[in-house]
Amino acid sequence: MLTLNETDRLLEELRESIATLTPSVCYSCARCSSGCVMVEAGCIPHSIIQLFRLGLLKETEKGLWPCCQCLKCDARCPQDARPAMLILALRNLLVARGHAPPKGYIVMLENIVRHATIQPPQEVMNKDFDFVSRATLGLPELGKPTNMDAFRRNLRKIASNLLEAEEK
Amino acid sequence: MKYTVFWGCMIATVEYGYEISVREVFPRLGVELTDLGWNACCGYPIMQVNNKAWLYLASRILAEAQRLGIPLFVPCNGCHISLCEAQHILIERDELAAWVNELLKEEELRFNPSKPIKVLHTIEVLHDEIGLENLKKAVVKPLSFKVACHYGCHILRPSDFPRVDDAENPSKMEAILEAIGAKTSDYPERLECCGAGANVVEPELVARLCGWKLKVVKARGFDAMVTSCPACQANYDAKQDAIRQIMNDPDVSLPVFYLTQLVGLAMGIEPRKLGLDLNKSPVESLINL
Repeated sequence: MLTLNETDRLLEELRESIATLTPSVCYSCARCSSGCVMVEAGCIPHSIIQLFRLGLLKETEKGLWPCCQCLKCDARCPQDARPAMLILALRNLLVARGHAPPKGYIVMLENIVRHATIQPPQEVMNKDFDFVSRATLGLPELGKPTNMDAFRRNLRKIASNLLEAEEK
Repeated sequence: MKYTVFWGCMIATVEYGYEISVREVFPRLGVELTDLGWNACCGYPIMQVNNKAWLYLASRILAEAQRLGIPLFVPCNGCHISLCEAQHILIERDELAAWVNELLKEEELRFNPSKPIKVLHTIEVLHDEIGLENLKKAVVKPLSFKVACHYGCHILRPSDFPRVDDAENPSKMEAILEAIGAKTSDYPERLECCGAGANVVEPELVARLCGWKLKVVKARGFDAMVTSCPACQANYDAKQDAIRQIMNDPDVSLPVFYLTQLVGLAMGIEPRKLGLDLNKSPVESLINL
């Protein structure tokens, strides 16, 4: 459990990269949670805000990852408490402190380092059951960043906690 | 009307129907498109685990677009919010702009916060730039079916920086549909999310969420659904087979189109030239492929 000062300090730290964090204005009307499409998976935005305010950081974890970041809660909050931004910030914080995020995020990040996009261009099946590619569809090659080495170096530097130092 | 197009990951690697239909339709409406020159992730998918990596990835695209000096056209909802939000932050926060520019040096790129670049989505190009009157003039085969609009969340929210349409009562997509002769109307579930952001964690729940909306749309008397986002389209169009299995419900079946595919059809363009043979949903029940 965090003390009030510690929660405030944590908020300041999180605001370094996510400016719109204002959980203290929440008056628990639950308008956020009443419209949340991920509530079935345990994402209850007003409860995440309340747990955070109580300094119960660990208890917020369960509901964090199912959020689909549709931002409906942020848009509808009458107080502008920004639950979705708090969820985003807490996810970033957990990962920065060494928690493993859901695997899909790592796969996407590794693919970005390798291909510059979350996956290389795929072959897809058309209605005639033929597999088609960008080339067979007549779509141009889009190319990769001009300096892929610098691109990879930069990403490895920023996301050193999630990526191997060098590609194996 | 001249734009640099940033296609992003999903359109360029799997959702080809969007790219094909944009490339076919926009030039016929007086829009000149040039690709960015290279393609790379806008960072949005990994924002959740490393916010700084997102800002770096988004900034380099903005910097390249600034270098080219032509407004950016971004057809993906996720890429659109990503670039608009990054630009908003870089303008507001000098220290973050300085941080990102230090990283961009090696790539010979620089983002200049005092020269923001225009970032437009498909709906804005059609509705605000080409305009409804010009769109109407291009119609030779008005559509006859009733279409439910699915905007996708990220072109409507949040409100810290300008978005494509009103967050709670958007109307541009409906106006575009009416201009091309299609029937449409509001429905209570119109702004419900497809859940794509949770595919990484809760794929089954996302599938059920999509199945629910597809069924609701059908039950409310619509013949089809229209999207303008590759993530929404992938969920509603490409996954219907999986959704039927997960829900054990053969009734989940609805034609789902990209907005640019419908505009193209109304302009009399042959369906396959709009990539409609790549849609997985039963579009052939409404058009001759």
